[in-house]
Amino acid sequence: MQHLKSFVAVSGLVALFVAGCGGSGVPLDKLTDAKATVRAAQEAGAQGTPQAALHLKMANDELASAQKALDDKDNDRARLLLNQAQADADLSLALARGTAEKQQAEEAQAKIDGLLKQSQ
Amino acid sequence: MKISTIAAVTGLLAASACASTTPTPELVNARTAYDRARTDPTASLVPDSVLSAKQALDKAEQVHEKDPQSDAERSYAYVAQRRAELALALGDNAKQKQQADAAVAHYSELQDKLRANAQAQLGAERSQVSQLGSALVQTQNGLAAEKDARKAAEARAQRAMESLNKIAAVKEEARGMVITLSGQVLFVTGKSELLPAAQDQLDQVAKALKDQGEIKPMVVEGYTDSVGSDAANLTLSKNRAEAVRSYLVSKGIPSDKISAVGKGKANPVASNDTPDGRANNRRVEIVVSGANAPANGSDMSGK
Repeated sequence: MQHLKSFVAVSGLVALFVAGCGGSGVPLDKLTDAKATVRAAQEAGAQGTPQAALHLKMANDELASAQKALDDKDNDRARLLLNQAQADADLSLALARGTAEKQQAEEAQAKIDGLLKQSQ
Repeated sequence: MKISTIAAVTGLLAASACASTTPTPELVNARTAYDRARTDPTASLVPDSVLSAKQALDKAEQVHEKDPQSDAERSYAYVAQRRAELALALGDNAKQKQQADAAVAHYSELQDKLRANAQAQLGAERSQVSQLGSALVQTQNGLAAEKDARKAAEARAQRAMESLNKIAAVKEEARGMVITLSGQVLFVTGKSELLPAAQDQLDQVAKALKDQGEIKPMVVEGYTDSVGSDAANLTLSKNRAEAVRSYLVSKGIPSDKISAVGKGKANPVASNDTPDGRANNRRVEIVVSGANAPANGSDMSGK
Protein backbone atom coordinates (compact mmCIF):
# COMPACT_ATOMS: atom_id res chain seq x y z
CA MET A 1 0.00 0.00 0.00
CA GLN A 2 2.72 2.36 1.00
CA HIS A 3 4.65 1.30 -2.10
CA LEU A 4 1.68 1.87 -4.31
CA LYS A 5 1.13 5.34 -2.86
CA SER A 6 4.68 6.35 -3.39
CA PHE A 7 4.57 4.91 -6.92
CA VAL A 8 1.55 7.06 -7.75
CA ALA A 9 3.23 10.11 -6.27
CA VAL A 10 6.39 9.51 -8.27
CA SER A 11 4.36 8.88 -11.40
CA GLY A 12 2.51 12.15 -10.86
CA LEU A 13 5.77 14.04 -10.47
CA VAL A 14 7.21 12.39 -13.57
CA ALA A 15 4.04 13.23 -15.49
CA LEU A 16 4.30 16.86 -14.42
CA PHE A 17 7.95 16.91 -15.32
CA VAL A 18 7.34 15.39 -18.71
CA ALA A 19 4.48 17.80 -19.32
CA GLY A 20 6.81 20.69 -18.49
CA CYS A 21 9.54 19.40 -20.74
CA GLY A 22 7.21 18.81 -23.66
CA GLY A 23 6.08 22.45 -23.58
CA SER A 24 2.98 21.39 -21.76
CA GLY A 25 2.99 24.23 -19.23
CA VAL A 26 0.13 26.68 -19.00
CA PRO A 27 0.10 28.33 -22.50
CA LEU A 28 -0.40 31.87 -21.22
CA ASP A 29 1.44 33.45 -24.18
CA LYS A 30 -0.87 31.75 -26.65
CA LEU A 31 -3.89 32.87 -24.64
CA THR A 32 -2.73 36.48 -24.58
CA ASP A 33 -1.87 36.48 -28.29
CA ALA A 34 -5.18 34.94 -29.34
CA LYS A 35 -7.15 37.39 -27.22
CA ALA A 36 -5.21 40.31 -28.67
CA THR A 37 -5.88 39.16 -32.22
CA VAL A 38 -9.59 38.73 -31.45
CA ARG A 39 -9.67 42.33 -30.20
CA ALA A 40 -7.86 43.52 -33.31
CA ALA A 41 -10.37 41.72 -35.53
CA GLN A 42 -13.25 43.33 -33.64
CA GLU A 43 -11.65 46.76 -34.01
CA ALA A 44 -11.15 46.14 -37.74
CA GLY A 45 -14.91 45.72 -38.04
CA ALA A 46 -15.12 41.94 -38.21
CA GLN A 47 -18.72 42.09 -36.96
CA GLY A 48 -19.71 43.93 -40.12
CA THR A 49 -18.60 41.23 -42.54
CA PRO A 50 -20.36 37.83 -42.47
CA GLN A 51 -17.23 35.70 -43.09
CA ALA A 52 -15.12 37.71 -40.65
CA ALA A 53 -17.90 37.60 -38.07
CA LEU A 54 -18.17 33.81 -38.46
CA HIS A 55 -14.46 33.27 -37.78
CA LEU A 56 -14.56 35.79 -34.96
CA LYS A 57 -17.29 33.75 -33.33
CA MET A 58 -15.29 30.53 -33.87
CA ALA A 59 -12.23 32.14 -32.30
CA ASN A 60 -14.26 33.28 -29.32
CA ASP A 61 -15.80 29.82 -28.88
CA GLU A 62 -12.35 28.24 -29.09
CA LEU A 63 -11.02 30.75 -26.59
CA ALA A 64 -13.84 29.83 -24.21
CA SER A 65 -13.16 26.11 -24.64
CA ALA A 66 -9.45 26.71 -24.11
CA GLN A 67 -10.21 28.62 -20.94
CA LYS A 68 -12.31 25.70 -19.75
CA ALA A 69 -9.49 23.27 -20.57
CA LEU A 70 -7.08 25.46 -18.61
CA ASP A 71 -9.47 25.42 -15.70
CA ASP A 72 -9.49 21.61 -15.97
CA LYS A 73 -5.67 21.70 -15.99
CA ASP A 74 -5.72 20.14 -19.48
CA ASN A 75 -2.94 22.26 -20.90
CA ASP A 76 -2.43 20.16 -24.04
CA ARG A 77 -6.03 20.55 -25.06
CA ALA A 78 -5.92 24.22 -24.20
CA ARG A 79 -2.82 24.62 -26.39
CA LEU A 80 -4.53 23.01 -29.39
CA LEU A 81 -7.66 25.12 -28.91
CA LEU A 82 -5.61 28.27 -28.59
CA ASN A 83 -3.84 27.41 -31.87
CA GLN A 84 -7.25 27.15 -33.49
CA ALA A 85 -8.48 30.36 -31.84
CA GLN A 86 -5.38 32.15 -33.13
CA ALA A 87 -5.90 30.79 -36.66
CA ASP A 88 -9.57 31.85 -36.70
CA ALA A 89 -8.78 35.26 -35.22
CA ASP A 90 -6.05 35.84 -37.83
CA LEU A 91 -8.43 34.89 -40.61
CA SER A 92 -11.20 37.09 -39.17
CA LEU A 93 -8.82 40.05 -38.99
CA ALA A 94 -7.64 39.54 -42.58
CA LEU A 95 -11.21 39.28 -43.87
CA ALA A 96 -12.26 42.42 -41.94
CA ARG A 97 -9.30 44.37 -43.34
CA GLY A 98 -10.07 43.07 -46.81
CA THR A 99 -13.54 44.53 -46.58
CA ALA A 100 -12.12 47.90 -45.59
CA GLU A 101 -9.66 47.82 -48.47
CA LYS A 102 -12.37 46.87 -50.89
CA GLN A 103 -14.42 49.83 -49.69
CA GLN A 104 -11.47 52.14 -50.22
CA ALA A 105 -10.96 50.81 -53.74
CA GLU A 106 -14.63 51.32 -54.47
CA GLU A 107 -14.55 54.84 -53.06
CA ALA A 108 -11.52 55.69 -55.21
CA GLN A 109 -13.27 54.32 -58.28
CA ALA A 110 -16.41 56.30 -57.41
CA LYS A 111 -14.32 59.46 -57.16
CA ILE A 112 -12.83 58.74 -60.58
CA ASP A 113 -16.27 58.20 -62.05
CA GLY A 114 -17.39 61.47 -60.46
CA LEU A 115 -14.45 63.34 -61.99
CA LEU A 116 -15.04 61.82 -65.40
CA LYS A 117 -18.70 62.77 -65.28
CA GLN A 118 -17.80 66.28 -64.14
CA SER A 119 -15.27 66.73 -66.93
CA GLN A 120 -17.71 65.77 -69.67
CA MET B 1 -2.48 -16.42 -23.50
CA LYS B 2 0.75 -15.51 -25.13
CA ILE B 3 -0.66 -16.11 -28.59
CA SER B 4 -3.70 -14.05 -27.85
CA THR B 5 -1.46 -11.26 -26.63
CA ILE B 6 0.59 -11.38 -29.84
CA ALA B 7 -2.58 -11.43 -31.88
CA ALA B 8 -3.93 -8.46 -30.01
CA VAL B 9 -0.71 -6.52 -30.48
CA THR B 10 -0.59 -7.42 -34.15
CA GLY B 11 -4.20 -6.39 -34.51
CA LEU B 12 -3.47 -3.05 -32.86
CA LEU B 13 -0.47 -2.48 -35.11
CA ALA B 14 -2.49 -3.36 -38.18
CA ALA B 15 -5.27 -1.02 -37.04
CA SER B 16 -2.84 1.76 -36.44
CA ALA B 17 -1.14 1.20 -39.82
CA CYS B 18 -4.51 1.28 -41.47
CA ALA B 19 -5.48 4.40 -39.51
CA SER B 20 -2.33 6.16 -40.62
CA THR B 21 -3.47 6.00 -44.24
CA THR B 22 -6.92 7.34 -43.36
CA PRO B 23 -6.69 11.03 -42.65
CA THR B 24 -9.29 12.86 -40.62
CA PRO B 25 -11.80 14.95 -42.54
CA GLU B 26 -10.04 17.99 -41.10
CA LEU B 27 -6.78 16.91 -42.72
CA VAL B 28 -8.52 16.29 -46.02
CA ASN B 29 -9.98 19.78 -45.86
CA ALA B 30 -6.59 21.22 -44.97
CA ARG B 31 -4.95 19.53 -47.97
CA THR B 32 -7.66 20.80 -50.30
CA ALA B 33 -7.41 24.32 -48.87
CA TYR B 34 -3.63 24.34 -49.21
CA ASP B 35 -3.85 23.16 -52.82
CA ARG B 36 -6.11 26.10 -53.56
CA ALA B 37 -3.77 28.55 -51.84
CA ARG B 38 -0.76 27.08 -53.66
CA THR B 39 -2.33 27.48 -57.09
CA ASP B 40 -4.32 30.70 -56.56
CA PRO B 41 -2.86 33.58 -58.58
CA THR B 42 -3.76 36.21 -55.99
CA ALA B 43 -2.25 34.16 -53.15
CA SER B 44 1.02 34.27 -55.08
CA LEU B 45 1.08 37.96 -54.11
CA VAL B 46 1.68 36.83 -50.49
CA PRO B 47 4.29 34.00 -50.75
CA ASP B 48 5.11 34.24 -47.01
CA SER B 49 1.53 33.39 -46.10
CA VAL B 50 1.46 30.47 -48.55
CA LEU B 51 4.68 29.21 -46.99
CA SER B 52 3.29 29.39 -43.46
CA ALA B 53 0.17 27.53 -44.68
CA LYS B 54 2.49 24.84 -46.03
CA GLN B 55 4.35 24.65 -42.71
CA ALA B 56 1.04 24.31 -40.84
CA LEU B 57 -0.02 21.51 -43.19
CA ASP B 58 3.37 19.79 -42.80
CA LYS B 59 2.91 19.92 -39.04
CA ALA B 60 -0.57 18.39 -39.36
CA GLU B 61 0.82 15.67 -41.62
CA GLN B 62 3.55 14.90 -39.05
CA VAL B 63 1.00 14.61 -36.29
CA HIS B 64 -1.09 12.46 -38.59
CA GLU B 65 1.89 10.10 -39.12
CA LYS B 66 2.70 9.96 -35.45
CA ASP B 67 -0.73 10.02 -33.91
CA PRO B 68 -3.40 9.33 -36.52
CA GLN B 69 -7.07 10.10 -35.95
CA SER B 70 -6.12 12.00 -32.83
CA ASP B 71 -7.57 15.26 -31.53
CA ALA B 72 -4.14 16.72 -32.13
CA GLU B 73 -4.28 15.79 -35.82
CA ARG B 74 -7.72 17.31 -36.08
CA SER B 75 -6.60 20.44 -34.35
CA TYR B 76 -3.42 20.89 -36.38
CA ALA B 77 -5.31 20.13 -39.59
CA TYR B 78 -7.94 22.70 -38.61
CA VAL B 79 -5.22 25.26 -38.08
CA ALA B 80 -3.60 24.30 -41.40
CA GLN B 81 -6.91 24.81 -43.20
CA ARG B 82 -7.29 28.26 -41.61
CA ARG B 83 -3.72 29.15 -42.58
CA ALA B 84 -4.47 28.24 -46.20
CA GLU B 85 -7.67 30.28 -46.06
CA LEU B 86 -5.68 33.11 -44.51
CA ALA B 87 -3.21 33.02 -47.41
CA LEU B 88 -6.13 33.27 -49.84
CA ALA B 89 -7.69 36.13 -47.88
CA LEU B 90 -4.41 38.04 -47.64
CA GLY B 91 -3.79 37.49 -51.35
CA ASP B 92 -7.22 38.91 -52.04
CA ASN B 93 -6.44 41.86 -49.77
CA ALA B 94 -3.16 42.49 -51.59
CA LYS B 95 -4.99 42.50 -54.89
CA GLN B 96 -7.62 44.88 -53.52
CA LYS B 97 -4.89 47.14 -52.28
CA GLN B 98 -3.18 47.12 -55.66
CA GLN B 99 -6.45 48.07 -57.29
CA ALA B 100 -7.13 50.77 -54.71
CA ASP B 101 -3.63 52.20 -55.16
CA ALA B 102 -4.03 52.13 -58.93
CA ALA B 103 -7.41 53.84 -58.61
CA VAL B 104 -5.99 56.52 -56.33
CA ALA B 105 -3.07 57.09 -58.71
CA HIS B 106 -5.46 57.23 -61.64
CA TYR B 107 -7.64 59.64 -59.70
CA SER B 108 -4.84 62.06 -58.93
CA GLU B 109 -3.55 61.78 -62.50
CA LEU B 110 -7.01 62.57 -63.79
CA GLN B 111 -7.33 65.42 -61.35
CA ASP B 112 -4.01 66.89 -62.51
CA LYS B 113 -5.09 66.59 -66.11
CA LEU B 114 -8.43 68.26 -65.48
CA ARG B 115 -6.74 70.98 -63.47
CA ALA B 116 -4.21 71.54 -66.26
CA ASN B 117 -7.03 71.73 -68.79
CA ALA B 118 -8.94 74.18 -66.66
CA GLN B 119 -5.84 76.30 -66.19
CA ALA B 120 -5.08 76.28 -69.91
CA GLN B 121 -8.63 77.34 -70.61
CA LEU B 122 -8.45 80.02 -67.97
CA GLY B 123 -5.13 81.19 -69.42
CA ALA B 124 -6.62 81.37 -72.90
CA GLU B 125 -9.58 83.31 -71.60
CA ARG B 126 -7.32 85.60 -69.66
CA SER B 127 -5.14 86.34 -72.66
CA GLN B 128 -8.26 86.96 -74.70
CA VAL B 129 -9.47 89.38 -72.08
CA SER B 130 -6.11 91.07 -71.93
CA GLN B 131 -6.03 91.30 -75.73
CA LEU B 132 -9.44 92.89 -75.71
CA GLY B 133 -8.27 95.12 -72.90
CA SER B 134 -5.16 96.25 -74.75
CA ALA B 135 -7.20 96.77 -77.92
CA LEU B 136 -9.54 98.92 -75.87
CA VAL B 137 -6.62 100.85 -74.41
CA GLN B 138 -5.23 101.35 -77.91
CA THR B 139 -8.56 102.62 -79.14
CA GLN B 140 -8.81 104.89 -76.15
CA ASN B 141 -5.26 106.08 -76.68
CA GLY B 142 -6.03 106.64 -80.33
CA LEU B 143 -9.13 108.61 -79.43
CA ALA B 144 -7.21 110.55 -76.83
CA ALA B 145 -4.40 111.24 -79.28
CA GLU B 146 -6.91 112.36 -81.89
CA LYS B 147 -8.61 114.55 -79.32
CA ASP B 148 -5.25 115.95 -78.24
CA ALA B 149 -4.30 116.58 -81.85
CA ARG B 150 -7.61 118.34 -82.49
CA LYS B 151 -7.24 120.34 -79.32
CA ALA B 152 -3.70 121.28 -80.28
CA ALA B 153 -4.86 122.29 -83.76
CA GLU B 154 -7.65 124.35 -82.27
CA ALA B 155 -5.29 125.92 -79.80
CA ARG B 156 -2.81 126.66 -82.59
CA ALA B 157 -5.56 128.19 -84.70
CA GLN B 158 -6.72 130.18 -81.71
CA ARG B 159 -3.20 131.41 -81.06
CA ALA B 160 -2.75 132.17 -84.73
CA MET B 161 -5.93 134.20 -84.63
CA GLU B 162 -4.82 136.01 -81.53
CA SER B 163 -1.43 136.84 -82.93
CA LEU B 164 -3.09 137.99 -86.13
CA ASN B 165 -5.36 140.23 -84.10
CA LYS B 166 -2.31 141.82 -82.51
CA ILE B 167 -0.74 142.85 -85.78
CA ALA B 168 -3.72 143.54 -88.02
CA ALA B 169 -7.40 144.30 -88.01
CA VAL B 170 -9.26 141.09 -88.65
CA LYS B 171 -12.88 141.15 -89.65
CA GLU B 172 -15.35 138.49 -90.57
CA GLU B 173 -17.38 139.55 -93.56
CA ALA B 174 -19.64 137.91 -96.05
CA ARG B 175 -16.77 137.45 -98.50
CA GLY B 176 -14.63 135.77 -95.84
CA MET B 177 -12.12 136.73 -93.23
CA VAL B 178 -10.59 140.08 -93.99
CA ILE B 179 -7.14 140.95 -92.68
CA THR B 180 -6.49 144.62 -93.12
CA LEU B 181 -2.91 145.91 -93.13
CA SER B 182 -2.21 149.64 -93.04
CA GLY B 183 -0.49 150.95 -96.17
CA GLN B 184 1.55 153.32 -94.03
CA VAL B 185 3.22 150.49 -92.25
CA LEU B 186 3.88 148.52 -95.44
CA PHE B 187 5.08 151.04 -98.01
CA VAL B 188 6.79 154.38 -98.51
CA THR B 189 4.31 156.84 -100.03
CA GLY B 190 3.88 156.22 -103.77
CA LYS B 191 6.11 153.12 -103.81
CA SER B 192 5.32 149.44 -103.90
CA GLU B 193 8.47 148.06 -102.22
CA LEU B 194 7.84 146.55 -98.77
CA LEU B 195 9.41 148.29 -95.80
CA PRO B 196 11.55 146.11 -93.51
CA ALA B 197 8.99 146.60 -90.70
CA ALA B 198 6.30 145.41 -93.10
CA GLN B 199 8.23 142.20 -93.69
CA ASP B 200 8.14 141.41 -89.96
CA GLN B 201 4.43 142.01 -89.92
CA LEU B 202 3.86 139.85 -93.03
CA ASP B 203 6.02 137.11 -91.55
CA GLN B 204 3.58 136.91 -88.68
CA VAL B 205 0.62 137.03 -91.05
CA ALA B 206 2.06 134.16 -93.10
CA LYS B 207 2.70 132.17 -89.96
CA ALA B 208 -0.81 132.80 -88.67
CA LEU B 209 -2.33 131.79 -92.00
CA LYS B 210 -0.33 128.58 -92.11
CA ASP B 211 -1.21 127.82 -88.50
CA GLN B 212 -4.90 127.91 -89.32
CA GLY B 213 -4.48 124.40 -90.55
CA GLU B 214 -5.76 123.92 -94.06
CA ILE B 215 -4.77 126.87 -96.19
CA LYS B 216 -7.79 128.30 -97.95
CA PRO B 217 -7.81 130.31 -101.17
CA MET B 218 -7.12 133.99 -100.54
CA VAL B 219 -6.98 137.23 -102.43
CA VAL B 220 -4.65 140.11 -101.67
CA GLU B 221 -6.46 143.37 -102.50
CA GLY B 222 -4.60 146.67 -102.76
CA TYR B 223 -6.41 149.97 -102.04
CA THR B 224 -5.44 153.64 -102.26
CA ASP B 225 -6.99 156.88 -101.14
CA SER B 226 -8.67 159.13 -103.65
CA VAL B 227 -5.64 161.37 -104.15
CA GLY B 228 -4.14 161.12 -107.66
CA SER B 229 -5.39 159.65 -110.93
CA ASP B 230 -7.47 156.53 -110.97
CA ALA B 231 -5.11 154.80 -113.34
CA ALA B 232 -2.08 155.55 -111.18
CA ASN B 233 -3.98 154.44 -108.10
CA LEU B 234 -5.06 151.20 -109.77
CA THR B 235 -1.50 150.42 -110.87
CA LEU B 236 -0.05 151.31 -107.48
CA SER B 237 -2.65 149.26 -105.65
CA LYS B 238 -2.09 146.32 -108.01
CA ASN B 239 1.71 146.48 -107.55
CA ARG B 240 1.43 146.73 -103.81
CA ALA B 241 -0.97 143.75 -103.71
CA GLU B 242 1.49 141.80 -105.89
CA ALA B 243 4.37 142.73 -103.58
CA VAL B 244 2.45 141.42 -100.57
CA ARG B 245 1.43 138.28 -102.47
CA SER B 246 5.01 137.54 -103.59
CA TYR B 247 6.26 137.99 -100.08
CA LEU B 248 3.64 135.69 -98.61
CA VAL B 249 4.39 133.06 -101.27
CA SER B 250 8.09 133.35 -100.36
CA LYS B 251 7.02 132.64 -96.78
CA GLY B 252 5.31 129.38 -97.63
CA ILE B 253 1.78 130.27 -98.74
CA PRO B 254 1.19 128.09 -101.85
CA SER B 255 1.13 130.33 -104.93
CA ASP B 256 -1.95 128.63 -106.33
CA LYS B 257 -3.90 129.56 -103.22
CA ILE B 258 -3.19 133.24 -103.32
CA SER B 259 -3.91 135.91 -105.97
CA ALA B 260 -3.49 139.67 -106.02
CA VAL B 261 -5.74 142.44 -107.36
CA GLY B 262 -5.50 146.25 -107.39
CA LYS B 263 -8.70 148.04 -106.44
CA GLY B 264 -7.48 151.66 -106.56
CA LYS B 265 -9.60 154.08 -104.56
CA ALA B 266 -12.59 151.73 -104.46
CA ASN B 267 -14.36 150.65 -101.29
CA PRO B 268 -13.03 153.30 -98.96
CA VAL B 269 -13.25 152.31 -95.32
CA ALA B 270 -13.06 155.94 -94.14
CA SER B 271 -13.59 159.48 -95.43
CA ASN B 272 -11.02 160.69 -97.93
CA ASP B 273 -11.57 164.25 -96.68
CA THR B 274 -9.34 163.92 -93.62
CA PRO B 275 -5.71 162.80 -93.40
CA ASP B 276 -6.65 160.08 -90.89
CA GLY B 277 -9.42 158.80 -93.15
CA ARG B 278 -7.12 158.78 -96.18
CA ALA B 279 -4.48 156.93 -94.15
CA ASN B 280 -7.04 154.25 -93.29
CA ASN B 281 -8.06 153.94 -96.94
CA ARG B 282 -4.47 153.30 -98.01
CA ARG B 283 -4.37 149.67 -97.15
CA VAL B 284 -3.92 146.09 -98.24
CA GLU B 285 -6.63 143.56 -97.42
CA ILE B 286 -6.10 139.82 -97.43
CA VAL B 287 -9.45 138.16 -97.99
CA VAL B 288 -9.46 134.53 -96.96
CA SER B 289 -12.51 132.88 -98.46
CA GLY B 290 -14.62 130.67 -96.28
CA ALA B 291 -12.19 130.97 -93.43
CA ASN B 292 -13.53 129.40 -90.32
CA ALA B 293 -13.73 132.32 -88.03
CA PRO B 294 -14.77 131.80 -84.42
CA ALA B 295 -18.51 131.38 -84.08
CA ASN B 296 -19.09 134.68 -82.26
CA GLY B 297 -17.04 136.51 -84.82
CA SER B 298 -19.11 139.40 -86.09
CA ASP B 299 -16.49 142.08 -85.67
CA MET B 300 -13.11 140.71 -84.84
CA SER B 301 -11.24 143.92 -85.29
CA GLY B 302 -9.00 144.45 -82.32
CA LYS B 303 -6.05 146.75 -82.55
